[in-house]
Amino acid sequence: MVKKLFLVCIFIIMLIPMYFMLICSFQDIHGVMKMPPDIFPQNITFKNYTMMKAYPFARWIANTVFITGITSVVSCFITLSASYAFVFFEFPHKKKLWVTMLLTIMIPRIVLIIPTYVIVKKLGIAGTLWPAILVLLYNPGGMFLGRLYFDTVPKSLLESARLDGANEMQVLWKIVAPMSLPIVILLLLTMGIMAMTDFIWQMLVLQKPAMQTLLIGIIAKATELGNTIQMGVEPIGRKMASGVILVFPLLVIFLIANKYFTQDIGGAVKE
Amino acid sequence: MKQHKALAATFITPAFLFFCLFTLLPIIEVIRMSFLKINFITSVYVGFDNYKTIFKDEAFLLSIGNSFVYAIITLLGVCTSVFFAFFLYHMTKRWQDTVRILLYLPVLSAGIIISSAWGWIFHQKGVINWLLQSDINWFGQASTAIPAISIMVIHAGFGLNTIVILANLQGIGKEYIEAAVIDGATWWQIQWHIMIPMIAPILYMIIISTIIGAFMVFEYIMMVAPYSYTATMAYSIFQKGFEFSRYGIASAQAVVLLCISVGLFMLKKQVKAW
Repeated sequence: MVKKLFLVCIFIIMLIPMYFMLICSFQDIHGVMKMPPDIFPQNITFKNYTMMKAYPFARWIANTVFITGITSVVSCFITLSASYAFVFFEFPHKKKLWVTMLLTIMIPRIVLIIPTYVIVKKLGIAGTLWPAILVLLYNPGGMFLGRLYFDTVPKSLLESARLDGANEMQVLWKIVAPMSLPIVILLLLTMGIMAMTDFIWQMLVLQKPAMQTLLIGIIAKATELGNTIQMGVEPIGRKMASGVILVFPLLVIFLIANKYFTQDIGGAVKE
Repeated sequence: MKQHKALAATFITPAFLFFCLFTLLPIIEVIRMSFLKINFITSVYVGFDNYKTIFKDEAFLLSIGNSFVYAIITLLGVCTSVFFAFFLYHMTKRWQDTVRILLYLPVLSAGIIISSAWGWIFHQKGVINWLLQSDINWFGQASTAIPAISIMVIHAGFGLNTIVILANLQGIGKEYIEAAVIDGATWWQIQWHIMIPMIAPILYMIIISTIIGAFMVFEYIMMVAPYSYTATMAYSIFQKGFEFSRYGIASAQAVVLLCISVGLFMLKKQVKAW
């Protein structure tokens, strides 16, 4: 009993910021600053949301969907095909190449942000949506997970297929591909969320209003209005409403796919 | 086994291409740029001048110090994750599954999105001050701002760390624990001498990534306390590079951060070799 109470307490602490973000987004200035805060909201107002009517949401959502879709699909494909080669093919310098490609996982992205920005400018793709996509395509963490996953496919299964005269592409499509669904979904989801929340980089490369994503657009508006109190709406409430709108797509993805998030990536073949 | 050079090359080339373009080339470039004085038009080789400048720059030295303070405080958060994972390990399966889903939620809302809620909680007229019956300006000085921001960072990472540690605890073979019980080990001895060493590799991973994560704290600082006394190295690099357009100086700072992360990584290998 004591244990369960303790668990419940931990949850409440974990969920408090999100809960109050939701509550306060429906409050005006007096409601937001009332101490102690109402656990169940009173005097609900939708002002914080109706203020956002004028935002170009269609544009932002289109950009976000474009970036997220292309990043997750292409990155998943690139990453898994590399892991596949490292697991199932023999070639010279395999180990060296693996270590080189994987070790860069420990380099903080901020270290590379300046030269990457310069490279993007030199490539002539600055001012488009492509920089936000291209830098995320190589995903060493995903490559590592992919390798762990493919390692659990029994080599004997592949050998017998090869002895039966299957070529490598047949092995891939007939044997490995059908059992790869969990890792594919995991990579699609993690890269999708990564593309949707990649704040620092997108803030740099997506500065034109027409190129902004939901994240960049909403945050830019919220901070730009942060210092000016407009039409009686306190910016805190509006910032909260912005947060709620940004959490929403992530939450939907999460609820649809939470069984893939929380599963153990135990292996392709259960023994 | 037969070699498949051509196939392997086809499969790896796309990943390798992007690896070269957006990881390898930037590493080389950042080192090269750290020796240059870069304006918009010209770039001049200046040797180690940028490094001399940044190590005389008090703001940068402060940001290194701050980063280590963030690292130490967030490591305390990792300790709580370890305790909580052990706690969950001894709960029933049904509780564990419920908890895992709920623990993921703050992970989803990490960083920039949730910072407005934190700003409200630590507001001078906010919840924390109301609970403590105090009137502290939490973001007004380093001694309160850094712990406050660290709490946000811990909150965002707590769930994922716990889940990873729990998964590793569950992976420990029951036979080790049973053998220890037969040998007469106490409950505490089992936790400390068997389970902790068994999950040591993943703990190293989490500790290293937490320390590097502390150097990378950025969004919270930008949103709630954008001051020099709260800055981390990431914030300092970003400011020098993109607000003051001093690419050379910022690159030199980035190289220092690169060396620190490589150093931490080597340290991990040393610890393993013990």
